[in-house]
Amino acid sequence: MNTRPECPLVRERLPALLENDLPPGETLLVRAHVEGCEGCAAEQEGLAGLVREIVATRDESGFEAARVALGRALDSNGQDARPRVLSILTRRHRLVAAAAALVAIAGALFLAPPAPTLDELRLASRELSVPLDSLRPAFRLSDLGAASLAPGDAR
Amino acid sequence: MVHSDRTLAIDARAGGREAFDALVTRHGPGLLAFLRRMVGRADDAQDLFQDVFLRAFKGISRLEDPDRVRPWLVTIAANVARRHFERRGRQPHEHSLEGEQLDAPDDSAVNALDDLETTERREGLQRAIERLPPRQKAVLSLRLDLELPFQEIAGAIGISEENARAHHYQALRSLRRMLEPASTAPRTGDAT
Repeated sequence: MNTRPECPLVRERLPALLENDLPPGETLLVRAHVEGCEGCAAEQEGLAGLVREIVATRDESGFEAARVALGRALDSNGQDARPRVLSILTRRHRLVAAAAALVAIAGALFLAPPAPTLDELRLASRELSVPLDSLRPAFRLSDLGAASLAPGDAR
Repeated sequence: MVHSDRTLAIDARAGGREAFDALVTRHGPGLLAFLRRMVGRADDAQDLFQDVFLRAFKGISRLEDPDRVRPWLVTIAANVARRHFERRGRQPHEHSLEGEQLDAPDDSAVNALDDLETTERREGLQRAIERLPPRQKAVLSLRLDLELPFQEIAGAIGISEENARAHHYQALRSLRRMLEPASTAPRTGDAT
């Protein structure tokens, strides 16, 4: 088939012409050439036929089977497959509960009245005239030791 | 009542399984067709289909713009297909089409041979498509199988719109050369 020198340039633009994607000036030139060139007209028809064939061979067969299998996979994955939003909420709930527990423990430790010091207990012992030993359960463990009883402590 | 992609995406993002299933029904066939083009084998395509939608289900809570659920799904599918090729290390069904020709039909069995020609032509087309570079193949399928605009195709696979058009046109030219090797190739310099 005889061709003109511009045929390769025209055929390079035929796919874009099919998509109406050429600038207006080029569109006119390419169309005018195709109308007068048997080879390029055949190539244009061949391209259009190729596109039709590609569209006609679109293969979505097996979609129903794939959809059913996907449904089973989502159902069986259950906990792992649930959208992350649920895991995020559960984790937040756990974090909130842990924070609340820490606040409660901190409150119990720091808001409760502190145990009396040994000096305070000695003073109380003298003022109440009761042996220091009787006040022993009120001692904090850190205050006890071999020298915990001073010479003046009541016994 | 037909819900928009946006409505379904918002519902699915909040954990709505029925909404997610509706998105699968709406976009699944096109994405399966795309995966089929990309990998060639129906069983591989179905495996990748599962992968795509399991990833989508796990990740939909992170979808920022519910209006873009379709491009988002296409991006997942394109990435899944790309990883499939990377794992396999090569294109599937690579073989040469050089010299493949159909015999001239016998008048006594024209209908049967027409059917055979159609089947062989379709198989030849699929083999030719499989030989395309992955990016050209992806753009071609997204354009012709899913009818996506070039702007959306470009966003889904991470290239410019101009490149998406270029890949599509080059894919069509390559397929023409592969399927019609000698009949229409212009010979420059011939007298008019």
